[in-house]
Amino acid sequence: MKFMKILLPLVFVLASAPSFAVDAAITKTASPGVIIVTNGGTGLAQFNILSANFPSGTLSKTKTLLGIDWQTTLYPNNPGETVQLCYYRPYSSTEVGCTTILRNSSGTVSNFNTQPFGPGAKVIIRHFANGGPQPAYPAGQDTVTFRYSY
Amino acid sequence: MKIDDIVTAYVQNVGMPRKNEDLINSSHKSASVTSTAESNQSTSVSLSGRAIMLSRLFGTQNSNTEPPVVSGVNGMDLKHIGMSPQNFLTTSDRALLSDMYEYAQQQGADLQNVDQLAYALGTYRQSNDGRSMSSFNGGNSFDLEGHQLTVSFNEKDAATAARILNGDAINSTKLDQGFLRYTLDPGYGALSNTSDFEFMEQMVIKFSDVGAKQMSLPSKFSTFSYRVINESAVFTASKQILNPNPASTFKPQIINDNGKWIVLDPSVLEDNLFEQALTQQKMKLTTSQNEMIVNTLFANDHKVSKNSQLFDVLKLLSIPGTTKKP
Repeated sequence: MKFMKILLPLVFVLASAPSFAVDAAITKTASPGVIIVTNGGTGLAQFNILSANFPSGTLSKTKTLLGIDWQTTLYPNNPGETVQLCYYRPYSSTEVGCTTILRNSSGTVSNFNTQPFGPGAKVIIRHFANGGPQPAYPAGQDTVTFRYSY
Repeated sequence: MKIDDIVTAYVQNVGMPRKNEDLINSSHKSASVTSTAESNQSTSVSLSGRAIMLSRLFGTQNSNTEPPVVSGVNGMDLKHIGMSPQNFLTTSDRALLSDMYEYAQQQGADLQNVDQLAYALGTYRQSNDGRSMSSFNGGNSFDLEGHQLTVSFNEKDAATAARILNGDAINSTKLDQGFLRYTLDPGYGALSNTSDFEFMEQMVIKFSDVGAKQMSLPSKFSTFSYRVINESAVFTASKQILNPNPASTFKPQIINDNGKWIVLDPSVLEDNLFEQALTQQKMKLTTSQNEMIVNTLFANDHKVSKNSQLFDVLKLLSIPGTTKKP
Protein backbone atom coordinates (compact mmCIF):
# COMPACT_ATOMS: atom_id res chain seq x y z
CA MET A 1 0.00 0.00 0.00
CA LYS A 2 2.82 2.30 0.90
CA PHE A 3 4.44 1.40 -2.39
CA MET A 4 1.25 2.32 -4.24
CA LYS A 5 1.13 5.68 -2.49
CA ILE A 6 4.53 6.48 -3.92
CA LEU A 7 3.97 4.91 -7.29
CA LEU A 8 0.59 6.39 -8.15
CA PRO A 9 1.60 10.07 -8.04
CA LEU A 10 4.62 9.20 -10.13
CA VAL A 11 2.40 7.50 -12.70
CA PHE A 12 0.12 10.54 -12.81
CA VAL A 13 3.06 12.86 -13.28
CA LEU A 14 4.50 10.79 -16.09
CA ALA A 15 1.12 10.34 -17.69
CA SER A 16 0.47 14.04 -17.65
CA ALA A 17 3.75 14.89 -19.35
CA PRO A 18 3.23 15.79 -23.00
CA SER A 19 4.52 13.04 -25.24
CA PHE A 20 3.94 14.75 -28.58
CA ALA A 21 6.65 16.60 -30.45
CA VAL A 22 6.39 20.35 -30.64
CA ASP A 23 7.40 22.12 -33.83
CA ALA A 24 9.03 25.47 -33.28
CA ALA A 25 11.09 28.04 -35.13
CA ILE A 26 13.67 30.67 -34.38
CA THR A 27 14.08 33.48 -36.90
CA LYS A 28 16.96 35.89 -36.84
CA THR A 29 17.93 38.79 -39.07
CA ALA A 30 21.34 40.41 -39.35
CA SER A 31 23.29 42.69 -41.63
CA PRO A 32 26.50 41.35 -43.16
CA GLY A 33 28.02 44.80 -42.81
CA VAL A 34 30.21 47.01 -44.92
CA ILE A 35 33.03 45.40 -46.90
CA ILE A 36 36.28 47.17 -47.62
CA VAL A 37 36.80 45.68 -51.03
CA THR A 38 40.30 46.93 -51.74
CA ASN A 39 41.77 43.48 -52.22
CA GLY A 40 38.72 41.32 -51.62
CA GLY A 41 36.85 41.37 -48.36
CA THR A 42 34.25 39.50 -46.38
CA GLY A 43 31.01 40.54 -44.72
CA LEU A 44 29.66 38.23 -42.03
CA ALA A 45 26.08 37.96 -40.83
CA GLN A 46 26.09 35.99 -37.59
CA PHE A 47 23.08 34.22 -36.12
CA ASN A 48 23.67 33.10 -32.56
CA ILE A 49 21.15 30.87 -30.82
CA LEU A 50 20.58 31.94 -27.22
CA SER A 51 18.83 30.27 -24.29
CA ALA A 52 16.28 33.06 -24.42
CA ASN A 53 15.24 31.91 -27.89
CA PHE A 54 13.72 28.73 -26.44
CA PRO A 55 10.49 28.49 -24.44
CA SER A 56 10.95 28.34 -20.71
CA GLY A 57 11.24 24.80 -19.44
CA THR A 58 12.49 23.33 -22.71
CA LEU A 59 16.20 23.94 -22.39
CA SER A 60 16.88 20.40 -21.20
CA LYS A 61 14.84 18.83 -23.95
CA THR A 62 16.56 17.35 -26.96
CA LYS A 63 15.96 19.47 -30.01
CA THR A 64 16.09 18.21 -33.57
CA LEU A 65 16.75 20.51 -36.48
CA LEU A 66 14.22 20.13 -39.28
CA GLY A 67 15.89 22.58 -41.63
CA ILE A 68 17.68 25.89 -41.86
CA ASP A 69 15.96 28.39 -44.13
CA TRP A 70 18.06 31.24 -45.49
CA GLN A 71 17.36 34.47 -47.25
CA THR A 72 20.28 36.56 -48.42
CA THR A 73 20.86 40.13 -49.41
CA LEU A 74 23.51 41.21 -51.90
CA TYR A 75 26.21 43.76 -52.47
CA PRO A 76 24.65 45.26 -55.58
CA ASN A 77 27.82 46.77 -57.02
CA ASN A 78 29.89 43.61 -56.69
CA PRO A 79 28.83 41.09 -59.35
CA GLY A 80 31.63 38.72 -58.33
CA GLU A 81 30.14 38.22 -54.88
CA THR A 82 29.99 34.69 -53.48
CA VAL A 83 28.06 33.55 -50.40
CA GLN A 84 28.50 30.64 -48.00
CA LEU A 85 26.48 29.38 -45.06
CA CYS A 86 28.32 27.67 -42.21
CA TYR A 87 26.86 25.86 -39.18
CA TYR A 88 28.45 25.58 -35.73
CA ARG A 89 27.42 23.18 -32.96
CA PRO A 90 26.47 24.66 -29.57
CA TYR A 91 29.41 26.50 -28.03
CA SER A 92 31.81 25.30 -30.71
CA SER A 93 34.10 27.62 -32.62
CA THR A 94 34.71 25.04 -35.32
CA GLU A 95 32.27 24.73 -38.17
CA VAL A 96 30.45 21.50 -38.81
CA GLY A 97 30.55 22.43 -42.46
CA CYS A 98 29.64 25.07 -44.99
CA THR A 99 27.64 25.10 -48.17
CA THR A 100 27.62 27.62 -50.95
CA ILE A 101 24.39 29.53 -51.37
CA LEU A 102 23.29 32.41 -53.57
CA ARG A 103 23.16 36.11 -53.01
CA ASN A 104 19.79 37.83 -53.11
CA SER A 105 17.98 34.54 -52.93
CA SER A 106 16.38 32.08 -50.53
CA GLY A 107 16.28 28.38 -49.83
CA THR A 108 16.61 25.61 -47.29
CA VAL A 109 19.56 23.45 -46.33
CA SER A 110 19.17 20.16 -44.52
CA ASN A 111 22.88 19.34 -44.26
CA PHE A 112 22.93 19.96 -40.54
CA ASN A 113 19.67 18.33 -39.45
CA THR A 114 21.53 15.51 -37.74
CA GLN A 115 23.76 17.86 -35.78
CA PRO A 116 23.26 18.90 -32.16
CA PHE A 117 21.13 22.02 -31.86
CA GLY A 118 20.42 24.26 -28.91
CA PRO A 119 21.71 27.34 -27.10
CA GLY A 120 25.16 28.27 -28.35
CA ALA A 121 24.60 26.95 -31.87
CA LYS A 122 25.36 29.36 -34.65
CA VAL A 123 25.05 30.03 -38.36
CA ILE A 124 27.28 32.47 -40.20
CA ILE A 125 26.48 33.69 -43.68
CA ARG A 126 29.70 34.84 -45.29
CA HIS A 127 29.69 37.23 -48.23
CA PHE A 128 32.92 37.63 -50.18
CA ALA A 129 33.22 40.51 -52.60
CA ASN A 130 36.06 41.95 -54.61
CA GLY A 131 36.42 44.74 -57.08
CA GLY A 132 33.71 47.34 -57.41
CA PRO A 133 33.47 50.63 -55.57
CA GLN A 134 34.88 50.91 -52.09
CA PRO A 135 33.53 50.38 -49.56
CA ALA A 136 30.76 47.98 -50.51
CA TYR A 137 27.41 48.29 -48.77
CA PRO A 138 24.83 45.50 -48.53
CA ALA A 139 21.44 46.26 -50.00
CA GLY A 140 19.64 44.76 -47.01
CA GLN A 141 19.90 42.04 -44.41
CA ASP A 142 20.24 38.28 -44.25
CA THR A 143 17.64 36.17 -42.48
CA VAL A 144 17.96 32.65 -41.11
CA THR A 145 15.14 30.53 -39.67
CA PHE A 146 16.02 27.48 -37.62
CA ARG A 147 13.09 25.06 -37.75
CA TYR A 148 13.20 22.42 -35.05
CA SER A 149 11.16 20.11 -32.88
CA TYR A 150 11.45 19.10 -29.22
CA MET B 1 67.69 49.36 -63.96
CA LYS B 2 65.77 47.09 -66.18
CA ILE B 3 63.50 46.10 -63.35
CA ASP B 4 62.36 49.61 -62.75
CA ASP B 5 61.54 49.84 -66.41
CA ILE B 6 59.48 46.71 -66.23
CA VAL B 7 57.70 47.82 -63.11
CA THR B 8 57.03 51.20 -64.57
CA ALA B 9 55.69 49.58 -67.69
CA TYR B 10 53.29 47.62 -65.53
CA VAL B 11 52.21 50.76 -63.79
CA GLN B 12 51.61 52.48 -67.06
CA ASN B 13 49.84 49.59 -68.69
CA VAL B 14 47.66 48.49 -65.87
CA GLY B 15 47.08 51.85 -64.36
CA MET B 16 46.62 51.60 -60.62
CA PRO B 17 47.06 55.18 -59.43
CA ARG B 18 46.48 54.18 -55.82
CA LYS B 19 49.68 52.18 -55.86
CA ASN B 20 51.89 53.97 -58.33
CA GLU B 21 53.68 56.25 -55.95
CA ASP B 22 54.61 53.49 -53.57
CA LEU B 23 55.73 51.30 -56.39
CA ILE B 24 58.01 53.84 -57.93
CA ASN B 25 59.24 55.67 -54.87
CA SER B 26 59.94 52.80 -52.55
CA SER B 27 63.67 53.03 -51.91
CA HIS B 28 63.68 49.68 -50.21
CA LYS B 29 62.21 48.07 -53.26
CA SER B 30 64.62 49.78 -55.59
CA ALA B 31 67.59 48.49 -53.66
CA SER B 32 66.23 45.01 -53.63
CA VAL B 33 65.37 45.05 -57.28
CA THR B 34 68.74 46.42 -58.35
CA SER B 35 70.59 43.81 -56.40
CA THR B 36 68.57 41.00 -57.86
CA ALA B 37 68.73 42.35 -61.35
CA GLU B 38 72.50 42.53 -61.27
CA SER B 39 72.80 38.96 -60.14
CA ASN B 40 70.20 37.20 -62.21
CA GLN B 41 68.44 38.39 -65.30
CA SER B 42 65.69 35.73 -65.24
CA THR B 43 64.83 36.51 -61.63
CA SER B 44 64.12 40.09 -62.60
CA VAL B 45 61.21 38.98 -64.75
CA SER B 46 59.61 36.96 -61.99
CA LEU B 47 60.11 39.83 -59.55
CA SER B 48 57.97 41.99 -61.73
CA GLY B 49 55.24 39.39 -61.69
CA ARG B 50 55.64 39.13 -57.95
CA ALA B 51 55.33 42.88 -57.61
CA ILE B 52 52.08 42.74 -59.50
CA MET B 53 50.83 39.87 -57.35
CA LEU B 54 51.70 41.66 -54.13
CA SER B 55 50.11 44.85 -55.34
CA ARG B 56 46.87 43.37 -56.56
CA LEU B 57 46.25 40.74 -53.92
CA PHE B 58 47.81 42.30 -50.85
CA GLY B 59 48.04 45.99 -51.58
CA THR B 60 51.77 46.14 -51.08
CA GLN B 61 54.87 46.16 -53.24
CA ASN B 62 57.24 45.32 -50.45
CA SER B 63 57.83 41.63 -50.01
CA ASN B 64 58.71 42.30 -46.38
CA THR B 65 55.17 43.40 -45.72
CA GLU B 66 53.54 40.54 -47.59
CA PRO B 67 51.01 38.91 -45.29
CA PRO B 68 52.23 35.51 -44.14
CA VAL B 69 50.61 32.37 -45.43
CA VAL B 70 47.72 31.40 -43.17
CA SER B 71 47.09 27.69 -42.94
CA GLY B 72 43.69 26.54 -44.10
CA VAL B 73 43.58 23.49 -41.84
CA ASN B 74 41.18 25.24 -39.47
CA GLY B 75 38.68 25.77 -42.25
CA MET B 76 35.95 28.25 -41.54
CA ASP B 77 36.29 28.33 -37.78
CA LEU B 78 35.37 31.54 -36.00
CA LYS B 79 38.93 32.82 -36.12
CA HIS B 80 39.37 32.41 -39.85
CA ILE B 81 35.98 32.75 -41.53
CA GLY B 82 36.23 36.54 -41.66
CA MET B 83 39.64 36.59 -43.31
CA SER B 84 40.14 37.25 -46.99
CA PRO B 85 40.95 34.15 -49.06
CA GLN B 86 44.16 35.46 -50.55
CA ASN B 87 45.79 35.17 -47.12
CA PHE B 88 45.51 31.39 -47.42
CA LEU B 89 47.35 31.16 -50.73
CA THR B 90 50.43 29.03 -50.19
CA THR B 91 53.94 30.09 -51.09
CA SER B 92 53.81 28.01 -54.26
CA ASP B 93 50.36 29.41 -55.11
CA ARG B 94 51.73 32.93 -54.82
CA ALA B 95 54.74 32.07 -56.96
CA LEU B 96 52.53 30.56 -59.64
CA LEU B 97 50.14 33.51 -59.56
CA SER B 98 53.13 35.84 -59.92
CA ASP B 99 54.07 34.01 -63.09
CA MET B 100 50.48 34.24 -64.29
CA TYR B 101 50.37 37.98 -63.69
CA GLU B 102 53.65 38.35 -65.52
CA TYR B 103 52.39 36.33 -68.47
CA ALA B 104 49.00 38.02 -68.53
CA GLN B 105 50.65 41.42 -68.51
CA GLN B 106 52.98 40.49 -71.36
CA GLN B 107 50.00 39.25 -73.35
CA GLY B 108 47.99 42.38 -72.70
CA ALA B 109 45.33 40.52 -70.76
CA ASP B 110 43.18 42.19 -68.17
CA LEU B 111 44.77 41.28 -64.86
CA GLN B 112 41.38 40.90 -63.21
CA ASN B 113 41.31 37.51 -64.93
CA VAL B 114 44.18 36.44 -62.68
CA ASP B 115 42.65 38.17 -59.64
CA GLN B 116 39.51 36.07 -59.87
CA LEU B 117 41.49 32.88 -60.30
CA ALA B 118 43.51 33.83 -57.23
CA TYR B 119 40.36 34.40 -55.16
CA ALA B 120 38.89 31.05 -56.24
CA LEU B 121 42.12 29.27 -55.34
CA GLY B 122 42.38 31.18 -52.06
CA THR B 123 38.82 30.25 -51.09
CA TYR B 124 39.68 26.61 -51.77
CA ARG B 125 42.73 26.89 -49.51
CA GLN B 126 40.75 28.73 -46.81
CA SER B 127 38.20 25.93 -46.68
CA ASN B 128 40.95 23.41 -45.95
CA ASP B 129 41.31 22.46 -49.59
CA GLY B 130 37.56 22.20 -49.89
CA ARG B 131 37.07 19.88 -46.90
CA SER B 132 34.88 22.39 -45.07
CA MET B 133 32.50 22.65 -47.97
CA SER B 134 29.50 20.51 -48.81
CA SER B 135 28.47 20.04 -52.40
CA PHE B 136 25.34 21.93 -53.39
CA ASN B 137 24.42 18.76 -55.26
CA GLY B 138 24.64 16.55 -52.19
CA GLY B 139 20.87 16.31 -51.88
CA ASN B 140 20.53 18.80 -49.04
CA SER B 141 19.61 21.95 -50.94
CA PHE B 142 15.96 22.83 -51.42
CA ASP B 143 13.75 25.69 -52.36
CA LEU B 144 11.26 26.84 -49.76
CA GLU B 145 8.56 24.63 -51.27
CA GLY B 146 10.71 21.56 -50.72
CA HIS B 147 11.88 20.85 -54.26
CA GLN B 148 15.40 19.50 -54.25
CA LEU B 149 17.83 21.73 -56.12
CA THR B 150 20.89 20.81 -58.11
CA VAL B 151 23.22 23.08 -60.02
CA SER B 152 25.24 22.61 -63.19
CA PHE B 153 27.41 24.74 -65.42
CA ASN B 154 25.96 26.40 -68.45
CA GLU B 155 26.85 24.85 -71.78
CA LYS B 156 29.94 26.98 -72.36
CA ASP B 157 31.41 26.43 -68.90
CA ALA B 158 30.59 22.72 -68.98
CA ALA B 159 32.48 22.36 -72.26
CA THR B 160 35.48 24.24 -70.90
CA ALA B 161 35.47 22.19 -67.70
CA ALA B 162 35.41 18.98 -69.72
CA ARG B 163 38.34 20.13 -71.87
CA ILE B 164 40.40 20.93 -68.79
CA LEU B 165 39.56 17.75 -66.93
CA ASN B 166 40.05 15.51 -69.94
CA GLY B 167 43.02 17.29 -71.49
CA ASP B 168 46.69 16.40 -71.27
CA ALA B 169 47.73 19.54 -69.45
CA ILE B 170 45.99 18.74 -66.18
CA ASN B 171 48.46 15.95 -65.52
CA SER B 172 51.43 18.28 -65.43
CA THR B 173 50.03 21.72 -64.74
CA LYS B 174 51.35 23.71 -61.82
CA LEU B 175 47.82 24.68 -60.89
CA ASP B 176 46.74 22.35 -58.09
CA GLN B 177 44.87 19.39 -59.55
CA GLY B 178 42.82 19.09 -56.39
CA PHE B 179 41.65 22.65 -56.85
CA LEU B 180 40.84 22.09 -60.49
CA ARG B 181 38.78 18.97 -59.85
CA TYR B 182 37.02 20.75 -56.96
CA THR B 183 36.20 23.96 -58.75
CA LEU B 184 35.20 22.20 -61.98
CA ASP B 185 32.71 20.07 -60.07
CA PRO B 186 29.52 22.12 -60.43
CA GLY B 187 28.41 21.19 -56.91
CA TYR B 188 31.34 23.25 -55.64
CA GLY B 189 32.49 25.53 -58.43
CA ALA B 190 29.26 26.66 -60.07
CA LEU B 191 28.41 28.93 -57.14
CA SER B 192 31.86 29.86 -55.86
CA ASN B 193 34.16 30.47 -58.83
CA THR B 194 33.74 33.86 -60.46
CA SER B 195 36.71 33.52 -62.78
CA ASP B 196 36.49 33.01 -66.52
CA PHE B 197 36.83 29.27 -67.07
CA GLU B 198 38.37 29.80 -70.49
CA PHE B 199 41.08 31.97 -68.98
CA MET B 200 41.66 29.31 -66.35
CA GLU B 201 42.00 26.77 -69.16
CA GLN B 202 44.68 28.93 -70.77
CA MET B 203 46.58 29.08 -67.47
CA VAL B 204 46.31 25.32 -66.96
CA ILE B 205 47.86 24.76 -70.38
CA LYS B 206 50.45 27.53 -70.22
CA PHE B 207 51.85 26.35 -66.91
CA SER B 208 52.06 22.70 -67.83
CA ASP B 209 54.49 20.57 -69.76
CA VAL B 210 52.50 21.22 -72.91
CA GLY B 211 52.50 24.97 -72.31
CA ALA B 212 55.10 25.63 -74.98
CA LYS B 213 52.41 24.94 -77.55
CA GLN B 214 50.50 27.93 -76.35
CA MET B 215 52.20 30.88 -77.92
CA SER B 216 49.80 33.65 -77.02
CA LEU B 217 46.59 34.42 -75.23
CA PRO B 218 43.49 35.11 -77.31
CA SER B 219 42.82 38.82 -77.53
CA LYS B 220 39.41 38.44 -75.88
CA PHE B 221 41.14 38.30 -72.50
CA SER B 222 42.22 41.91 -72.89
CA THR B 223 38.89 42.73 -71.33
CA PHE B 224 37.41 41.18 -68.26
CA SER B 225 33.93 40.19 -67.31
CA TYR B 226 32.89 38.36 -64.18
CA ARG B 227 31.48 34.90 -64.40
CA VAL B 228 28.28 36.12 -62.78
CA ILE B 229 27.03 33.19 -60.79
CA ASN B 230 23.32 33.87 -61.01
CA GLU B 231 23.67 33.89 -64.80
CA SER B 232 26.21 31.14 -65.31
CA ALA B 233 24.81 28.52 -62.97
CA VAL B 234 21.90 26.41 -64.17
CA PHE B 235 19.53 25.20 -61.47
CA THR B 236 17.24 22.23 -61.67
CA ALA B 237 14.41 21.64 -59.23
CA SER B 238 12.96 18.20 -58.64
CA LYS B 239 9.41 17.77 -59.85
CA GLN B 240 8.38 16.22 -56.58
CA ILE B 241 8.75 17.69 -53.14
CA LEU B 242 11.64 15.78 -51.64
CA ASN B 243 12.19 17.73 -48.44
CA PRO B 244 10.18 15.93 -45.75
CA ASN B 245 9.96 19.21 -43.83
CA PRO B 246 9.52 21.99 -46.38
CA ALA B 247 9.48 25.52 -45.11
CA SER B 248 6.32 26.51 -46.96
CA THR B 249 4.10 24.01 -45.16
CA PHE B 250 5.82 24.08 -41.79
CA LYS B 251 3.41 25.08 -39.06
CA PRO B 252 5.32 25.81 -35.89
CA GLN B 253 3.40 26.00 -32.66
CA ILE B 254 5.71 28.61 -31.26
CA ILE B 255 8.10 31.05 -32.91
CA ASN B 256 10.86 33.23 -31.61
CA ASP B 257 11.18 35.95 -34.23
CA ASN B 258 14.21 38.11 -33.49
CA GLY B 259 13.45 37.80 -29.80
CA LYS B 260 9.71 38.31 -30.11
CA TRP B 261 7.48 35.41 -29.11
CA ILE B 262 4.66 34.29 -31.36
CA VAL B 263 2.56 31.60 -29.69
CA LEU B 264 0.38 29.86 -32.22
CA ASP B 265 -0.57 26.97 -29.95
CA PRO B 266 -0.42 27.72 -26.21
CA SER B 267 -0.96 24.06 -25.40
CA VAL B 268 2.68 23.42 -26.23
CA LEU B 269 3.74 25.39 -23.19
CA GLU B 270 4.25 23.60 -19.92
CA ASP B 271 0.66 22.46 -19.38
CA ASN B 272 0.49 22.59 -15.63
CA LEU B 273 2.04 26.00 -15.30
CA PHE B 274 -0.10 27.38 -18.04
CA GLU B 275 -3.33 26.03 -16.61
CA GLN B 276 -2.37 27.21 -13.18
CA ALA B 277 -1.71 30.71 -14.33
CA LEU B 278 -4.96 30.91 -16.17
CA THR B 279 -6.91 29.55 -13.22
CA GLN B 280 -5.40 32.12 -10.96
CA GLN B 281 -6.59 34.76 -13.32
CA LYS B 282 -9.96 32.96 -13.55
CA MET B 283 -9.71 33.09 -17.28
CA LYS B 284 -10.09 30.57 -20.01
CA LEU B 285 -8.01 30.91 -23.11
CA THR B 286 -10.23 30.59 -26.15
CA THR B 287 -9.41 30.29 -29.79
CA SER B 288 -10.31 33.89 -30.38
CA GLN B 289 -7.97 34.89 -27.65
CA ASN B 290 -5.20 32.90 -29.25
CA GLU B 291 -5.78 34.84 -32.40
CA MET B 292 -5.68 38.01 -30.38
CA ILE B 293 -2.23 37.09 -29.14
CA VAL B 294 -0.96 36.35 -32.61
CA ASN B 295 -2.56 39.42 -34.11
CA THR B 296 -1.17 41.57 -31.37
CA LEU B 297 2.33 40.35 -32.01
CA PHE B 298 2.08 40.36 -35.77
CA ALA B 299 0.78 43.90 -35.63
CA ASN B 300 4.03 44.82 -33.90
CA ASP B 301 2.13 46.09 -30.91
CA HIS B 302 4.48 44.49 -28.48
CA LYS B 303 3.80 46.55 -25.41
CA VAL B 304 1.73 44.36 -23.17
CA SER B 305 -0.25 45.46 -20.18
CA LYS B 306 0.64 43.68 -16.99
CA ASN B 307 -3.04 42.97 -16.50
CA SER B 308 -3.53 41.24 -19.81
CA GLN B 309 -3.67 37.53 -20.55
CA LEU B 310 -0.88 38.00 -23.03
CA PHE B 311 1.32 39.16 -20.23
CA ASP B 312 0.69 35.85 -18.48
CA VAL B 313 1.68 33.90 -21.55
CA LEU B 314 4.82 35.93 -22.01
CA LYS B 315 5.60 35.60 -18.33
CA LEU B 316 5.52 31.85 -18.70
CA LEU B 317 7.96 32.23 -21.54
CA SER B 318 10.18 34.32 -19.33
CA ILE B 319 9.40 37.44 -21.28
CA PRO B 320 8.98 40.34 -18.84
CA GLY B 321 5.98 42.08 -20.30
CA THR B 322 7.60 43.45 -23.36
CA THR B 323 9.47 41.76 -26.10
CA LYS B 324 13.19 41.90 -26.19
CA LYS B 325 15.97 41.58 -28.66
CA PRO B 326 18.25 38.55 -28.45
